[in-house]
Amino acid sequence: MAFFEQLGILAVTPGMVVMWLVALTLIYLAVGREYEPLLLLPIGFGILVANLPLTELMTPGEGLIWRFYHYGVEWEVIPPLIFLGLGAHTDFGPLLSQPRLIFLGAAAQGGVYATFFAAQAFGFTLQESATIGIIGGADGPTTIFLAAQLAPHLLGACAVAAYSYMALVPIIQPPIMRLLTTEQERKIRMKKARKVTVREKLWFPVTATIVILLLVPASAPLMAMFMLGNLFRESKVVERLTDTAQNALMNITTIFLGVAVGATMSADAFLRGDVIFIFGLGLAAFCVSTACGLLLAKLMNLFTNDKINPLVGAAGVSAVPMAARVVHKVGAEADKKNYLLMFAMGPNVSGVIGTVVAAGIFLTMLE
Amino acid sequence: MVTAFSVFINGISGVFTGIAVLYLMMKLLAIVADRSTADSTPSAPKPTTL
Repeated sequence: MAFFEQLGILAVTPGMVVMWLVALTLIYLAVGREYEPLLLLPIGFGILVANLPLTELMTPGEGLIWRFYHYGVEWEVIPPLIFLGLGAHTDFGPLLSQPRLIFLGAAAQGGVYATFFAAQAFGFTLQESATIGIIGGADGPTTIFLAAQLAPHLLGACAVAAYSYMALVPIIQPPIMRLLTTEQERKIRMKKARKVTVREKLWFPVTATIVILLLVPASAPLMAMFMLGNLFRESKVVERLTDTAQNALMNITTIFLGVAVGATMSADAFLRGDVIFIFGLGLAAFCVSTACGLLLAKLMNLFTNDKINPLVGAAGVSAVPMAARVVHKVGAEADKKNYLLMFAMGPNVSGVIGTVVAAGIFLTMLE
Repeated sequence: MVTAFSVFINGISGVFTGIAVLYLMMKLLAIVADRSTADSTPSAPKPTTL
């Protein structure tokens, strides 16, 4: 009978059942633990429906979610739109008030390159290694953007790894921060930052766009949209656009991105030995990035009287604003009156720029 | 030929070069923007028509 022949239940494989469990775990983490729920919830549901047999949601040219993926991710549309929203949310004031902190965002890319090398040693190709390494930047849209270009078959695993570790920042980073700093260093109080003028904030996105795109043109899709969003915000003359970029547009694109990324994780693509390496290397990238930011802050302190609390270096991994909050919390454990949040936001937003630049260089050399 | 080492060297130097140029740009911006605000005040936002 035709009805029984098209029953999905008859086509279920053990791999699919495993993927359902993965999907349900992510949905639980999102709903029950509120770990990055905006992304992990649609990703988890995307995994679930993509691993239900005969639904053909990811059939090339036909499937609904395939269309989301193809036109949204492969065509490089959604990650830049999310960056538009991120830019509209970002305040560069803390960075502009303490420009030297921008180097901490660069140092935090150390984990990206260390992991790039490590992934090579495990037998991954250059393109795959770059995609795995960029997880260390702790920037979901950039990871997805790069993976879609260099190693689409790793996109799902890398995206889930990136967002999972971003959610676990409060667990992963503090032990590294305590290990690499002394109690005295954690108590360092940084000098009050100078006031940033409205003009500085207004000119920054324009001049930064020119500078970065002249140096790394391949980073244009992400960087241009990031700075456009910030220009919306700082110009204060397009409140409607700012509001749309920050809320409606970002929410819509997040839905499409999450479901599409989740749906790339079919049992065939995900249940492979190398995925375990991706998660392991991604975690290593995250830890090394945290350590590099901290260590550069300590190094800078050797050459300046105006000391930097090394903890703020840990915020050089993007994960905005979670990493900055963790810095503040760990700093407050050593000195309750030490208010590090605004200082940590500087390296935090520079980490976003650093990761986009790193991704642009990978694209330039490897695409 | 692109090797892991060349990607590494280009990547590290590229990131730090980009960030260093941005640092200089921010320093310059602070001087220029501070000076321009000293003798002029920003005009009030105009209503948009779209």
